Amino acid sequence: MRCRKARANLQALLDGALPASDEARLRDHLAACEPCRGHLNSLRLVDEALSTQPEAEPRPELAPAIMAHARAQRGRRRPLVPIWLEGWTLASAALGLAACGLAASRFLPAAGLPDELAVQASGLLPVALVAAFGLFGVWYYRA
Amino acid sequence: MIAALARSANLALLALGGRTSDDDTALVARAREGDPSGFDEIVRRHHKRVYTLAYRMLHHPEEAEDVTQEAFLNAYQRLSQLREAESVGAWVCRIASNLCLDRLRSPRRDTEVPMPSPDLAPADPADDDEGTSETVERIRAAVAELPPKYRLAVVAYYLRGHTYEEAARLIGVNVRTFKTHLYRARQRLIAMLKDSTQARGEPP
Repeated sequence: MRCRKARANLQALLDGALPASDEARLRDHLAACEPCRGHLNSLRLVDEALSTQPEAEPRPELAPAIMAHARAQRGRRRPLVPIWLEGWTLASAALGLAACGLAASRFLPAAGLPDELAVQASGLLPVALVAAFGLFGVWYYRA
Repeated sequence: MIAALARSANLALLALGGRTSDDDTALVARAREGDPSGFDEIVRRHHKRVYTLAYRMLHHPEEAEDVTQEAFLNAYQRLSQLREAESVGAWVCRIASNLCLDRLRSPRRDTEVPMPSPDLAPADPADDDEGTSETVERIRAAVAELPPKYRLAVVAYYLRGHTYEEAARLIGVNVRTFKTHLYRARQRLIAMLKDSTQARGEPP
């Protein structure tokens, strides 16, 4: 085994994630190669230094401050629509309406119904599309 | 009956110091329904981990507090978008990671990267060997010299003994990319350690 390949496998050796056959070959290489043994030792030191690092301690005021800000934010937030009716639900409904308008403008005259009805239905199309994009925009920016 | 069994299993896990994923799921549900105590508990439960991540990324206590607060408030605003309620802690960490990267990449920050204070990153008290303890301190301080994406990989992996998969998920990258970043970070740390050892005239 060459040093380059050995070094690529050293961390897996420390993690205990090397297949047995690779591990045996790597250990043979390490027995004969001092620089790779040094590298393994350095890796082990890095692992130990970073895994024993104590958790940082925030000031005790931090958590209450976050909670207070969240409550204040909630007080400022006035939902435009109930949560179950927001965003995708309304945008989908408006797009559905637009599709109905388009279908009506195409098929009502063919079905023998008055043209005025088809014109009124097709008039819904731009309104519904604008509503769909508008509602999606409101949902996106609120989120 | 089944619900009662599940509840007692949860209580038993809590008594053992464990934490079931249902806990966070229930808290998120309460917060979504408008119960502020649900979000309070999420903050109480996860703020230390988020703060530690931010502190180890930025090496600045006030900035780390700002990022922690911003990450939680951001999460609070977008709570309706969270798909895996049981991972709310990891989600806030991911938001905090992105905020840290933004700050580290900000051109205004180039001139003011403070070094970690030894008081805030104390050595393990069990380490009574002065030489080893000093080496440990040098390695921890060297993390601050890593490029942001490598630093984030190191911080996430060693945050609470995560697996590669968990740490990758925590910072929102795929496992392969994560392993590459972590590998390069470790190689750089070793190179820095060797340089500092040579500069001090110590044997390698």
